[in-house]
Amino acid sequence: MEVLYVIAGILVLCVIAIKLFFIKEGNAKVKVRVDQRTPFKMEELTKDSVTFSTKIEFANAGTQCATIMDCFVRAQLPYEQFDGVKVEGKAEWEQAPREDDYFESVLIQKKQSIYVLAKVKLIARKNGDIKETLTHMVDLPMDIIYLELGRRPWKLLKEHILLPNEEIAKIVGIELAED
Amino acid sequence: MPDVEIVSVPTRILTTKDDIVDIVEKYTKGKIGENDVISVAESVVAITQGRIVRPEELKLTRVALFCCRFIPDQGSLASPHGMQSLMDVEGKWRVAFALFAGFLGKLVGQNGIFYKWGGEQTALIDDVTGTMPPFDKHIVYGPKNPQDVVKRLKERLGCFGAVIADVNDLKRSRIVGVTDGVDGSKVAHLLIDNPFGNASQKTPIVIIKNFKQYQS
Repeated sequence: MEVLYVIAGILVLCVIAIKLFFIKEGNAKVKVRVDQRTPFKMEELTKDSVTFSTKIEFANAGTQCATIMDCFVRAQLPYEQFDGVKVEGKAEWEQAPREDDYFESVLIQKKQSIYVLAKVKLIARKNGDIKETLTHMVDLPMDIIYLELGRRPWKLLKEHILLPNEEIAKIVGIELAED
Repeated sequence: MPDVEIVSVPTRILTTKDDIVDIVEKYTKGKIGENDVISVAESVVAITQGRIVRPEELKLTRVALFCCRFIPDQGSLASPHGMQSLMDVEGKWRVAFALFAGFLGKLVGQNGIFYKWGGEQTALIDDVTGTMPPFDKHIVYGPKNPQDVVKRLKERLGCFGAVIADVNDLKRSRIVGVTDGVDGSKVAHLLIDNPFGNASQKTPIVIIKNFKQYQS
């Protein structure tokens, strides 16, 4: 009987030791700091389109390496609300920009950050004149969707940001119409 | 005696639709001679064999979730997906036992037991980010039957020998498969500066010119 108690005691100690080891090692903890994003700026302006971008920090506050396997920008502007523009979203790792809209998997080491450029291109759908179209623009909500891996199973997560119509008007240099 | 020379051969991105022997023959036509050794990147051979899996396709077990926590942060088996991919091919209890044995071995100063007992894929699996796009979102296994692949390469190309090599920019160079008569350690030494290049260079084939004379 005493042997059983000893074995049980050893097992309990092992479990405690492993738990303590996991606590000490910690895990990755990715924080997407949308609240600290840079103000949107104009990347490109043509007759029928305008592209805006903002820089967002992906910080790994944890103690293990994290992987961002994919990231993309999903604009949430339905035609029911405003059908003057077609919106194309794109996420780009600042350190290795690509023109093909492919987000290459990237590691974020513990206590390190990467920066992602969230870009939206607004294309005039009807009159071919983006400045004229944007005088009627509404707020542009968008989701930053990313697939994260670490010591845990993969997760698809998202953060929400908003590009207000007043900010759009100010960047492009137009007056919003009274709708 | 002619000098040994390393020639990197650019290709398009190779996929699971390709046959590695056909591809190597196509891209090295007119460039390889009877004294040369053909060297192919390990991950590319595996990709052409379809030995890839996306993390989302894996069914994670509790054993994998548990065991991966004992692998150092940077290792390909440190994620539950990397660990599960290994367990799927080598058996979860075999891997778990090897990990435990490796832990005990370290206590008495014996390193490498996990990699020795966990199965050949233990040291060959690349987790996501480990391979060039579009395979950066895949876990890539080591190649299947590497000895058979190098044998077929040598026969088809009529060269002195063939190797499959696992080389990276961190000065790691390892031979995964090698034909008879070729000194793998000498080939590994010649490839130490990673002539396969990084992802954007797309040079998974390297010809080692005049290796026969170099070796003798």
